[in-house]
Amino acid sequence: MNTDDRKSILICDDEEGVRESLRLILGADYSLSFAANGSEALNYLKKHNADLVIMDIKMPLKNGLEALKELHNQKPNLKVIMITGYQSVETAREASRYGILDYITKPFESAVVKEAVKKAI
Amino acid sequence: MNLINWILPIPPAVILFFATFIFVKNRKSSINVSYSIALYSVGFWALTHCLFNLNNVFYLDVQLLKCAYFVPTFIPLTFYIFVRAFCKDWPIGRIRIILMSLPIAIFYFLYFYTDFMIKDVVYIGGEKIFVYGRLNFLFDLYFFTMFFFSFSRLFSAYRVSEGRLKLQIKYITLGTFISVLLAGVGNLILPEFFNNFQFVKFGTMLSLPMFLFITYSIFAHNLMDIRIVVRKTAIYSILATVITAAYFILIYVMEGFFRGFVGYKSIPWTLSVIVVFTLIFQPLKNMVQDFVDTYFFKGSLLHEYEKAQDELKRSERLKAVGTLAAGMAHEIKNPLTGIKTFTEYLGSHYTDPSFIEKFQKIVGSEVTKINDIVQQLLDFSKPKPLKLEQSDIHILIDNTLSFLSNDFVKYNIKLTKNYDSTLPLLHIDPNQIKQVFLNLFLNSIDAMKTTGGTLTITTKLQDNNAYITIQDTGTGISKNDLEHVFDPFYSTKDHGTGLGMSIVYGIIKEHKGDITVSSEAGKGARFRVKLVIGK
Repeated sequence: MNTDDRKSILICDDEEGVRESLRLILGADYSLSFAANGSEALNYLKKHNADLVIMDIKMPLKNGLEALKELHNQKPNLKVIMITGYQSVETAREASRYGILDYITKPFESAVVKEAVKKAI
Repeated sequence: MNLINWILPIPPAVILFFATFIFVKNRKSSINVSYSIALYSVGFWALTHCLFNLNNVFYLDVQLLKCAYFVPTFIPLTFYIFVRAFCKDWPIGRIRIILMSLPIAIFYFLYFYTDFMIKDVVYIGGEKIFVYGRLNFLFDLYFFTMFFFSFSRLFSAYRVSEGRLKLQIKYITLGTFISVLLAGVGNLILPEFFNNFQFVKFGTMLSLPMFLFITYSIFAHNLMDIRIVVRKTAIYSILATVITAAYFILIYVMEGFFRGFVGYKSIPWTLSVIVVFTLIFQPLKNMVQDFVDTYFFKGSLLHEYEKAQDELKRSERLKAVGTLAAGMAHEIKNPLTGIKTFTEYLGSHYTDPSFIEKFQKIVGSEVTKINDIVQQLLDFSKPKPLKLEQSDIHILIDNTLSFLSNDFVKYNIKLTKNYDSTLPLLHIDPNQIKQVFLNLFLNSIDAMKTTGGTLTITTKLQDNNAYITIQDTGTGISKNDLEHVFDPFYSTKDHGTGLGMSIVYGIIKEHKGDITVSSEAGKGARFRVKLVIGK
């Protein structure tokens, strides 16, 4: 549960390096929570709210697209930014059906991430 | 009875047999159905033709001849329907065929019932001579117009198609065109100008080569081996023409010669000459084959087939490179993200001990990850040389399984082993083969992780090869994924590099062995490894 006034972001990525990078970039300005796969993210969002979700596409157990689909059904107004190492046209098309706000490609610039998040919330 | 009358029943018998065979073989395929109907048209035409020639009852001659011209009305129509089915223009229903055929049938029935097409049959010198009506050109016009439409459709389909389909269309067109041209000219055009032109008797023979070889291609449809079908269509079409002409000349010349020379008992002599002629069939066939290859196709047939195969391989390779690039991008960009961000923040955070601790941990592990990926890629692209030694495959399998015993318990996977005790020692690289089994077992475990299941390992000695089958009852592989199982970086999993199965494939191929996979989504997968026995 967030006790501060900062906007909350759920970061969902199976790579510790990516999670820690986003913590470094966004940790000072936002209240962050973390999930290592799609299922964890869905469980977290059942109990908590988040102003924004930053989600990787390729993850174990439940990948980003599957989680995104379920999230979209549960919370159609939830804001989501996808992060991906390799963006294919099919993935982009599929993801755009579930109302994602933006794409960030790995390895990302901190300024690009900050800008995308600022625009989203 | 004239010798030709013995030959005449052959085409209807052969064609009607094939028509029935194709129809029974796959009644659900519109291509088979439409083609068998086209074949029936040709078969019944040949039958009426045969009956007309064999008939000795004078007053039936005209009726039978009218039938012999009425029945082929359906040939161009049914061929057109076959072409549309082949080009997948519309699904062919039997009702649609009947609806299309009925008006044409009624029109031509009335047309033939009158004297406009066939007027009479007269006997001149013991030969039946047709007397055509004033409007017989209407039939010729219809015949060639319908074939023109069929060939136009095939031509336009040829222009937009690619690869194997293009070749199929090209050679179906070629095979049919030769027969239609010969049969059309022999049966329709020449009799127009020469009323006593006897070649019409052989007309039904000309349909045989085309239908025999397109029939063969239908069995193989998808499947048809263009090189053989096409070359043979061309060769046999030419050969049939040459032989028919040669028989024609032989019979008439020999009959005349022997009749004058030895009196009326000429048939045995003519038969003897034909036996000699038959004996030279094989050399004649070879000559025609060489001629067709050298001058007609100028070797292009094989070349084109190989070119199409090469194109296919090239596009498959490009697809594999694409998958490889995408896989590499994803696998390397992940660790690069950590490295990039932490180095970006190093300048402003180097005095923060907790940052430095994380920096060392994250950057260190990300560099190791990249190194592992590069190493795997190197192993994949340049496999280590084989260190072959006589090894017991069962011991290797058991050793590999023992690494994974915890996983079997953890994921509730039952193990069944059916080892063939007659299997001799194999001349293989034990370490690399262990890696093959490790990857295959890991794959099976992954597929059964959530539900549990049974992993069955079967070994078998067969035809001097060792076969090792690994079957699981897991999630299986979808049809789409099945053909990419061994592609590098092709992975349906959310973890791993997607290199495992391509490494397996590489190792087995290095051993001059083979690996195949069969599966259905939801019904488990079955990998079959073939290893050659002996040095």
